[in-house]
Amino acid sequence: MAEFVRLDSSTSRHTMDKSITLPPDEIFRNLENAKRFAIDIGGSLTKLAYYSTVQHKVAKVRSFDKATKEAASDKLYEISVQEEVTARLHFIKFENAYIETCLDFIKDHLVNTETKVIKATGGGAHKFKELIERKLGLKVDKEDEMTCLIKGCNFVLRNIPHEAFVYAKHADSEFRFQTTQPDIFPYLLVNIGSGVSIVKVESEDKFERIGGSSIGGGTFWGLGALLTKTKRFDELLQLASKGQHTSVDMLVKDIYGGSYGSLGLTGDLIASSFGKSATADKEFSKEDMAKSLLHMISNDIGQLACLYAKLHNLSRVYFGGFFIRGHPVTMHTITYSINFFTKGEVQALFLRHEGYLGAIGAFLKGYITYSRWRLPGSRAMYGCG
Amino acid sequence: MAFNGHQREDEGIDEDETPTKQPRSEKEMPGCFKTEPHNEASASAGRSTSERRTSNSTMRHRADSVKKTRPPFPWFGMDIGGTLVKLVYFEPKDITAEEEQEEVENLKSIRRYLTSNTAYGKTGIRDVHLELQDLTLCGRTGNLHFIRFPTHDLPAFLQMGRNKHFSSLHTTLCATGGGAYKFESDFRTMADLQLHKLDELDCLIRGVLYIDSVMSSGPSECYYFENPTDPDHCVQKPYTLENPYPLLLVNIGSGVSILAVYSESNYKRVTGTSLGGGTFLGLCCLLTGCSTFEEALEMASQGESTRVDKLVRDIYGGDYERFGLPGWAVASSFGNMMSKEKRESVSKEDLARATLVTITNNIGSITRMCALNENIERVVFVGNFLRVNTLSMKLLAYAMDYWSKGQLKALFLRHEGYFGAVGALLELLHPS
Repeated sequence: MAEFVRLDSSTSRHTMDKSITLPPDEIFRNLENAKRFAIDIGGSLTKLAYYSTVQHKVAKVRSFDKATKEAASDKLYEISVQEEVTARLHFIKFENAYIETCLDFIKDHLVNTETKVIKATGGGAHKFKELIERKLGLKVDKEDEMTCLIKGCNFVLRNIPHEAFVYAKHADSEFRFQTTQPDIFPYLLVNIGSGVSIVKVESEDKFERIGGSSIGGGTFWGLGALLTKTKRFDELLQLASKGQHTSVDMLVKDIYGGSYGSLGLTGDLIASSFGKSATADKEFSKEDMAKSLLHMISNDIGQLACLYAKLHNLSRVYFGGFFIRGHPVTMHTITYSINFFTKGEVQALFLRHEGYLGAIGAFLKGYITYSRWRLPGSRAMYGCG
Repeated sequence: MAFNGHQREDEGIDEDETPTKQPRSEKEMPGCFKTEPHNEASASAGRSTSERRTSNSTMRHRADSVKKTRPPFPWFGMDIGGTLVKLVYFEPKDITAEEEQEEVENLKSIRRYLTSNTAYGKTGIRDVHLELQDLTLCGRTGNLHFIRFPTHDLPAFLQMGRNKHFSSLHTTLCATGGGAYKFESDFRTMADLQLHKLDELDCLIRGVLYIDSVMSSGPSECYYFENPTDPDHCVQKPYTLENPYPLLLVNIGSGVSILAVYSESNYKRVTGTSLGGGTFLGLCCLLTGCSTFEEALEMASQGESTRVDKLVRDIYGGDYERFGLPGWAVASSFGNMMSKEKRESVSKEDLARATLVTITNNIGSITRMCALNENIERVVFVGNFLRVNTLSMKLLAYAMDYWSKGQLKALFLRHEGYFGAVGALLELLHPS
């Protein structure tokens, strides 16, 4: 079954990746009914970002000074109702197995007679090009995955308040949202999709994929499905939140009987993931295995991120992609891992629209092209070119 | 005490230096990688030449005092890890008739038991191919044996020690690894043995440097793979670890420790990872139902991981050229397993292979980043994960070479997981 997010943003199940109000920029306003969208086809999921306007009535109240009243019957207040149109960007994702359903959605809701081209990014933009062109009768305009990713990331960091946040498990407020800031560079973006891409971003246009890892969301999903027979990613996360990894993992104290003092390795640290599961005489619960797997992958990604951050002298790491999904265990493990390996020198930050960065970037790319055509001489938007 | 490694000239006489205690950091460690035959942990060569020749009587006198400071047999070094116990045993081959007569019965039976068997109980194994013959240690000549058994069976080992009245031999048992700490009280209560606990990384480094300096008549201790990227021409070649520093030492046991070694006495633990040999074995057992390391490796050798993993070409339909990612590179380990169809189409062997490849590549990746951060180009991989695991060794050699564009060299040592135990034995003979 495909996962759907309700179209109306206000009743969206996933409050973290709510639709975003596009800044009241000239360019967006002039495209009232134009249906604009972009698609990001990754290794496992297809992400769609589409534009639509929300029309609502707004009551405006005007009050009058008593002293200026000419007659007792004159009104004190004048209420007028106006139509306001807000431009919003909506998000929806589909499992790749259901890409045809996604394309049907696009065909039914997003394509109109004016649409000639569809902006697509991700590996699937290459792999599914022909399917898309055939099914939608549109030309696929492929954009590079990293470019869109960074464009999207820069955009949300700069313009969407409370997009980025720090997770502090034991603090009063778990989520510490960051305000937008103009000065976001340089930073490291660790995009955890099916696999992991690590990108160093130095400026709007200067970024480089400096490394990656094959142990990512796809590994959690695949290994999790094999070990627990649970097919859904979200179900795996639910299992993990209930598990005890200590029955499956070999901790430092299991080897040392306590901590490895001289190296500062406390007894509770994991020495060997799944280190206890080689014993044939035991059955391990799904919850425990899922938790162990989550720890294993989160720690590994955290560690790798630290190694890259250290090599490139970066102190801020943002995590994108759909692996995290606001899961407390994941966020805590990654944050802990980063703190552990860098002794607190590097900060781990998460993004509300984590997995939609590529789609946002591709969408923005579409606007640039469109706006340049429609509004000659309009300024380049947000410095992206 | 520091000794020169010399051949014994005649019975009962040891040629050696003044048996003063020397700081390990300076003289103990075999800083020189000379290939003198049967050299043991030697002090600097300079000293040895000046003090070698003295008169007979002086030598005899000194031999006596040396005998006092030399520990009594049996000589063991033990490394109790998360999954395996590694034991090195020195079998003296120069026992005189006199000595033999004096020898206590249980010491004799221990020696006979260990050297006339290659398997002990159900799970103990002596790696005969790793035996170092005609080695001189502490003035005695003999063979060094390498024995291992699962940590799980330590109680049986302790019981045996008790049965053979090991404790009556009043020998110090030098042990390292986490188990030296964890099982210390068990040794006392079950076998009446007092352990001399040692740090595992100190022992590891010491053991590595010593074994490499020993010239055996067999193959070279250190080797690498030539043409790792070409399966038809990939060959194992010897390597001399001369001027080895700085060196990145990656110990792959149940878990992984990565050390940067700058000199015999100067090293630091850079980092570690919990995705190690224990993970490979644990996951394999869960996924395939196998129960031993050998079984898991056998399955892996028969499997095809590309059916299990999601490759770049599975996502892109080809290469991701812009960032130099070839289509055959793994984008997502086990990434195909989210599909029910694909789960049903892969075999246990494929899963075992994928597990091996995933763990190995991850270790390679972390190692490579550490090497870059520490500015070190030579990496030595040790630990029992690599035992009879040519697949992982070749993968590591390949990964190091490919992703570093030839900058990093992966090296391997024959005695893989025994260095900690060797280091412990050396501590017994040459306490620091």
